[in-house]
Amino acid sequence: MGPALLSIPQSAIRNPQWEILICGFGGQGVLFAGELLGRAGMRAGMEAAQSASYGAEARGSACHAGVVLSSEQIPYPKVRRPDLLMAMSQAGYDKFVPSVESGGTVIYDADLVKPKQIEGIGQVSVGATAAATELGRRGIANVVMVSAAVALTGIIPREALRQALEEQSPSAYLDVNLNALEAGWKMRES
Amino acid sequence: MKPTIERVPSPIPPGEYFLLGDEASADGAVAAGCNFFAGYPITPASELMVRVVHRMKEFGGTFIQMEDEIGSISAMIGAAWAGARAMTATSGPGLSLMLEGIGYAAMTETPLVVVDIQRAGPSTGQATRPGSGDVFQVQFGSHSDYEIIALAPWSVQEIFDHTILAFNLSEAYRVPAFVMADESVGHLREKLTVPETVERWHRPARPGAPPFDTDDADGVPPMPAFGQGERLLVTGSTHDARGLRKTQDSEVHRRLVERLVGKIRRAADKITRWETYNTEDAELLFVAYGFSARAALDVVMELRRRGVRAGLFRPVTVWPFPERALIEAAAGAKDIVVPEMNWGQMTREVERVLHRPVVALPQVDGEGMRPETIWQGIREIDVVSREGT
Repeated sequence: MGPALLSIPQSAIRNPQWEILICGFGGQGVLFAGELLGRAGMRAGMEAAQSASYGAEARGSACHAGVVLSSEQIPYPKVRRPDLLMAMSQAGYDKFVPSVESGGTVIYDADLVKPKQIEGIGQVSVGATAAATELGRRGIANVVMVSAAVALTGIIPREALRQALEEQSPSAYLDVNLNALEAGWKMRES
Repeated sequence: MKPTIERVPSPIPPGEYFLLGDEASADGAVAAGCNFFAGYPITPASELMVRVVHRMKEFGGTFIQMEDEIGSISAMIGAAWAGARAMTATSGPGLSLMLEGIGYAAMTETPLVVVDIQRAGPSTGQATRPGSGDVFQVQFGSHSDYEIIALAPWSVQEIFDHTILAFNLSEAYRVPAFVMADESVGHLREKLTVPETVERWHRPARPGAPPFDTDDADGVPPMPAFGQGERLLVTGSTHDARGLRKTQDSEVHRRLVERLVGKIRRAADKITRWETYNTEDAELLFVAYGFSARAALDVVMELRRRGVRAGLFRPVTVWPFPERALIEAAAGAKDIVVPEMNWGQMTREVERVLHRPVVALPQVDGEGMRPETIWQGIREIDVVSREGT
């Protein structure tokens, strides 16, 4: 794992705990992304908890997943103030960006979110949908997003993410998902 | 009679999994030797049933989707009397429908496991959202006197462990056993460590002995199964040791009901389980179970960092309620606070046991218990002046 390119918020240093929120709309694989991130954290030896919005949601309506990663036992497993927000829709960005912890980071999809000027948090655009479209499947933007976020923040070693993706991918999608992981990881250099 | 206990290799491959609470319960059932599941889908317990379908295809066992919950519980009772380890999963509205069968299972001393992934009620309420309002339903839902066992898991690991334990306790005491989880745990994804081996307790057996009465001090008679060559008569009406209906005999009725209640109450010290966190010197004691206890622990840890002597008492068995342990843990507490996702159900039980008023912190908004709810609730209590003492 290389050096983290983004600042780690003070709260994460204080608590040794990351609170991560992924938001988007139904059909983008937001829950898959949350599970992947949590699973990768677990494979990296961290404590991990993932929760999700279980509403009357369907394809196209708002949804989100929360992930807590920690080096210690996690008493309260839900996300309260995310240190990292991964936004895959404008509605999700608008709703959750005010809750981001001071010093935290927002990573948003360049094609889907128009960011606002906000003091005290870092914002990074990632061309996840564009990269996924280039790979021939818009539906893997979620994996590109997770991979880019992990690469940019350095929370989880790449090998653990890869292992989690191999476990979690349906076999028919494994190759394309691994390509998405590569594409996301490269965004670290861009 | 005592159960026979064996230790078997876990059929689920040992290792670390990243699972939903619902899924972990299904895997726990398979590990416990569950070989019959009759169910009817209901949010938020459906993922459990789906996982059971796959697991039973893999490891063997019978899965039946019944026409409704009444059919499910009835099929389970029949299966248990044919020797199966039977289970279902449901939520509040489904459990309401099952209650007639629960009473019948209690009266006929039929071991079975009901996993209740509680949601916000009453009635159909909010199907996808958590609650913990089934505290009394699981114990007192069916009419008249009987006892059950209910466990309240607060994590994915624990819902797996509790599902196994529920099977074992149910077989050992011949009562319905509940895993009283809530949606916040059922839909939480965490690490599950599956051990190399699991313990399985089997219902007591003594060929030829009457299945509905015993002189053994524990009050648990042996249980044969249909097909083992015994003459078996099973009825929900008052019955004697051999199962013959005695609906006009007051002594038989008194003796039967005393035993149905007494076999659990007398064993309460053996059955009850609880955990304590920083209760030794606690002035401010939280009593919480299930998901609410996770929020309470978060608050306790923060209060301790601020120098407040706060502690948490967590009932692991809600029924039988860990009365003695609670009395001990609460002995030095100035204030007792009960946060729960209903309008103060366990609060009543805590007040009954401690004979003193406690602060109820109900959160009834279809959300999992939030630490903020507890922080707001304890504002009235003079926590600040105790900081650093």
